[in-house]
Amino acid sequence: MRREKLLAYLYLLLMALGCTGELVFSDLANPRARLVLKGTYETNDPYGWLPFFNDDAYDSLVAPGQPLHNTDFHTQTLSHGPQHLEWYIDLAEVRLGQGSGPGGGRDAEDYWEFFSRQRLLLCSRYDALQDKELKSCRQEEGLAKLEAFFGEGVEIKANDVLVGTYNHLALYYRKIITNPALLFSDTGSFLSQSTAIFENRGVRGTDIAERYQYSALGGNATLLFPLERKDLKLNIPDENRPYVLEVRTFLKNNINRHIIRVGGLGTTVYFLGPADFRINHRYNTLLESGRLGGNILMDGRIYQPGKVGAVDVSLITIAGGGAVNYKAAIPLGDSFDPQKQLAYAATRGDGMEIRNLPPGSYEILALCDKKRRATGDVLEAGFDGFPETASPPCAQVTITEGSTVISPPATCSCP
Amino acid sequence: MTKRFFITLLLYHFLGVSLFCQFEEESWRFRPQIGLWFGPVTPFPGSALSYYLDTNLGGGIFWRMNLPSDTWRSEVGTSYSYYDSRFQSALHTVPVYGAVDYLLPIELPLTFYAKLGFGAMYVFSEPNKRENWHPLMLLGYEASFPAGKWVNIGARIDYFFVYEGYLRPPPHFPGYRVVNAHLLKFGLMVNFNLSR
Repeated sequence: MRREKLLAYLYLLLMALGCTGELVFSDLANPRARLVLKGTYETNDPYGWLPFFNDDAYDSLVAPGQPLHNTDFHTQTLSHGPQHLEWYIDLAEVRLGQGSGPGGGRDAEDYWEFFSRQRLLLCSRYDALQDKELKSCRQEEGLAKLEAFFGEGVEIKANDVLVGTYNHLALYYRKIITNPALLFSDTGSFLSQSTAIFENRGVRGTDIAERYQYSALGGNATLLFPLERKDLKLNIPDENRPYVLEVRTFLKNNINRHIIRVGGLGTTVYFLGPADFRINHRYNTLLESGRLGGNILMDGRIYQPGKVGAVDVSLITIAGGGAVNYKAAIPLGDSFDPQKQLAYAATRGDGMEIRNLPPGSYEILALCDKKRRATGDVLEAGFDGFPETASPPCAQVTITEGSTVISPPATCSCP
Repeated sequence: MTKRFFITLLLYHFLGVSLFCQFEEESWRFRPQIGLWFGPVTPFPGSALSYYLDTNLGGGIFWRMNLPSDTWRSEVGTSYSYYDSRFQSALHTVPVYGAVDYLLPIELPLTFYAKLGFGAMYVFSEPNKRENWHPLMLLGYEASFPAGKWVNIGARIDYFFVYEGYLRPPPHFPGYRVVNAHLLKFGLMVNFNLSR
């Protein structure tokens, strides 16, 4: 019996040593990760919908004396405003990776951390063509989610991934359909409305994801993840508290009237989509639509909702602003190229506050839309909704957890 | 609480051993068995973890002996099961338990046992690498038939209730829900009679 007693005590001792106090099942059932998706430039308090801008190709064709001046094309499309705009968005996946992509002995399953495989359906209406309806979008309340997507963000179910720093963020938009999208003859008379497929149903509009997510001219036609960034520093903290991965796809208030000619068919295609801020597209041929690739800018950041502060920017004024302006906060010491990334955190030009900033020092600056991409790929004076111009930093603030710092009065001048 | 579980459990087990010594002279004979099983494991459908983990495979080993009674046996066992998911989440479990097995009075060439046991489970979760030992309760059911003198073949179902509710939620995590695990293990089983 003595030996058995000893064994019993030994067993109990091992047990006692094994108790770590860690929550294991609950850790699985309470993911720390939260994924918030936004379709805005702003990280909080975005603008409402602003009027559309015109692409330079559009403007040059409807100018007095030009072929499409005062045609059906001109009158119909010019009347379009945000109240007519409809979206049908199907987001398939959000993934994270460390490195430059699968390959080199690592297959896709090993490379990617699957942050979310929840499909997100957003739509402006539930009825499809031929008296059908968009059932899944209705079930998932896609209307309300669309509003959130272009507002303070839509949260979708996410999963914990390994703690670490990720440079690679990939979004797979299966569809981004905008309506109105119309077809005209080359002389500007109305032919028909474009239709596209969403949720296996016909809807009015055209799928701009095909045009914007890859560059046919750049030779990147078959990317698995056409919308990706490999230059990010997404640090997932090793702390048992929730964190938010906020992913912004800049669509709202960046909408231009575009025109592209389908050569040979004698058809002129009109659609609404983000500005061609990166490479200019022209009217002449269908090939020009390939130049739209890369014109959807995406950015992501991670913060812990319990460990953030805010800055009151009501005393910041913007001088030399353009059609759309933003007030932005950039972590001190970070480089920032307004034509390659979205500002770390931003609010609309007349916004009062920039929120959800992790503690640290930030520079405040303004971003202004004063230019657009035109023939010859030059930036000319004009408006396209994309803020190509950044002011020099005009104020500096230090954010502390749980409080709002008031930025000193300053004027941010866009050159 | 945990410690008391195990003291009771172990005492019960050793009681069996010591009683066996006294009854050796009678017609009852000591018939220990050692067994192996493997089969699918899954979180109980509808339980909290079933939304985060998928079905996978597990396997285990157990040792069993008859108590000085023809209808009761005692069993100790351990196993390993792995549950993964479509995401990065995964769970590894190693239960260590002691149980009493009751021979159900069913007149068939098969042998049926119902089991009740207690023990502890080592659990390790991914991707956040949390680990712990948690108290468990086992409810089991088993059906087997003899395949010759030394071998029995059968199937078993074990339901494990693993208690985590004694832990507090982390302080900076609003809406955190502490959950317990309900795990099911189905096994195809072979056990060997160590004596006749």
